[in-house]
Amino acid sequence: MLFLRMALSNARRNLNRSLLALVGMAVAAAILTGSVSMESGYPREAFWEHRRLVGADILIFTEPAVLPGPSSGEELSWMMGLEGHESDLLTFFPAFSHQGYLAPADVRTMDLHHLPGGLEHPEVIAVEPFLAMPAFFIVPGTTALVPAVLRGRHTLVDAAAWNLHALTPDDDGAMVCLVNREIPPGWPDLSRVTALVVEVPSVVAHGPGGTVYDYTRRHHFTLEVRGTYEFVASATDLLARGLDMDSLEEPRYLHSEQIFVPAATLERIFASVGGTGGFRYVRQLGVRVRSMFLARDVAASLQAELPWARVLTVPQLVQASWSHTGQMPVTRDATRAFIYLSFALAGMLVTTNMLILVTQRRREIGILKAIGASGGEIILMVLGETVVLATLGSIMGFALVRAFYVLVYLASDVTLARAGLSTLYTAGLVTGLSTVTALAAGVIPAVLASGSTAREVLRHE
Amino acid sequence: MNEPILSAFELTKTFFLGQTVQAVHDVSLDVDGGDFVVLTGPSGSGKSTLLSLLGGLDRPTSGEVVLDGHRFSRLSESGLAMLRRAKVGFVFQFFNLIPHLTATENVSLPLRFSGFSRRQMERRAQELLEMVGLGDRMHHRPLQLSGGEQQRVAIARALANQPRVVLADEPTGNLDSRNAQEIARLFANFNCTLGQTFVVVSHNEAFHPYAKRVVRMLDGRLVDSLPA
Repeated sequence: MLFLRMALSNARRNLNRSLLALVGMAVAAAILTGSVSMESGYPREAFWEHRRLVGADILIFTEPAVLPGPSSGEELSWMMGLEGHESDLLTFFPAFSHQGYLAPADVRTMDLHHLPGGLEHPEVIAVEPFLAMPAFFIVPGTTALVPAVLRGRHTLVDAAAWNLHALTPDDDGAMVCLVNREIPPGWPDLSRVTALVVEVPSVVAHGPGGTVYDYTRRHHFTLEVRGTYEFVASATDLLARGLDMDSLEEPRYLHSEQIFVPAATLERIFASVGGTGGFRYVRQLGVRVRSMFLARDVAASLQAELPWARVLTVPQLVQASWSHTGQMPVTRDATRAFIYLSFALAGMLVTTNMLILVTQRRREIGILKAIGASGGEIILMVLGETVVLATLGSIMGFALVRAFYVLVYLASDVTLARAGLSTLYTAGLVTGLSTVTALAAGVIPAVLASGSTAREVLRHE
Repeated sequence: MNEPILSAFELTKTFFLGQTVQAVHDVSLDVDGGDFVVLTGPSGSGKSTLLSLLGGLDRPTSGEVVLDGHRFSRLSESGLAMLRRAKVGFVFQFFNLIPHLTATENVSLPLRFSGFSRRQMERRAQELLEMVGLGDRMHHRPLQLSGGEQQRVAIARALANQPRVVLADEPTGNLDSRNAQEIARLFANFNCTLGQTFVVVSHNEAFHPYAKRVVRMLDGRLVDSLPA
């Protein structure tokens, strides 16, 4: 405490420069805090409401989803948007115009009964398999058939993400559905329809090679329309679909040809149209993690288990889509460079301040040496003072910026525990980097101070 | 007869300040345990330089200093610092207290480098401040104390580590005659009651009645060493 008081008293001696160093460190800490909070600190609950601002939970797309990794050199090819078609059917039917038995080429599937080991990662909180079947619905009041996709949704796991409020766990297995609030081009408004008749092709085979459907034999089902779901648009979604992010009015929702049914309902339909053994082979997995802190670890873990698959986190996906649209992304590396630059500048301010303080304190340092302080102890003392100054500054910058983010978290129904943990992580990172910067910045002043001789105190008053 | 605790052998210190200046020339001196040596002489005679050599604050150009069996020439800078911390106390002309620390904190400063606990430091500092007559000034800062009081705090600080020898450089040089007398008496008191060894550089004859030896320097050499 004595040396801490000496440090603070010395800082007061040269208040303006000390404040400048303090503010420099605070700005650097604020930039780092903001960057970390936006880049990786956002829990999933915050993500859905602020997804355009931040990265969040990971989405993992396998090879058949046709999403090449950003390092592969390939351009993003979003199959759903090919040739003007806006239908998920294209992932199932590349040659949609052909009639008869259809099976997509180069299918690799994942067996839901034997999921890869990488999913046992402690960060993984849910797995969202792509449960989907091709279907047609009959436009109410007509005989026209419109192609669509029946998408099985878990009423609990997916509820928060897709606003499936109109479905309850009791609906699992019931013939009910939700339609998108954004009406796809060429579709009628189904939100006011109470019942929807769909035709589902027969399943000829369902196995590791994919599902083969017989389009010539279709089965009718009547689904009660319970309401709508919301497909909140992310930057990735918009860019991948070639849409201008500013062209849509808030809030941004995407249209989709998917008709949501509970997962067990899809299983029931699957069994009714000839599927056996349950809908177990899927072409895509969504993996939800607690936060983005360890998303890359989860991705690496899954990649090791599924070497044939392309495993992407949301930030990688965003990068890929930016690359596709020819925009220059502000990459993580650039952000990091900016952070390091700001810390380097803050460090220089601290060094300048400490050099001046040490010069002003030659006599005091001489006294300490005369009464027995060694050069090493003087170095430690000056470094300690530098760290105190830098830590105070970094705490200021961190507290100001983080307070804002904590408010955003809490407004997003993030639990206090989650916000607290995330805050601790960020605080550790900020104070750690500030301390390292302070130590580096304090080395030269400390070594100069340790070189002062006690004799000067005796001889020059 | 006491064994010398501090010995200087043929000490020479040369400075190169445009021209060669021999501040100390071929000085040999023994200081016994419990001794009270006053170094006197005109300004520029090399008293302070000799004191800094005896205290290990400076290295001689040639010669050797031995304190309690430790040869300074064989010690590194940190070794000298350790030796100063354990065996030497300094009192300066301008007191040299840390202005933003209280009297107690200033006195306990040397103990901080020796690994004492906070409670031990406070107890020792308060005990010493009582001994120098500042029991009621313990929490005052240097600027709240008179010159004489500040020097008494500095003396208490010099004694904090129970050093083998206290080296004082013109301890009364910045005080009026009344305070100078008090400081001299304080030194004498510690010398008599605790057997504390003192080497005092001073022009002030206030120390002479209490000194066991008065050593006179002229042009860097010892010219007299008389029992007081």
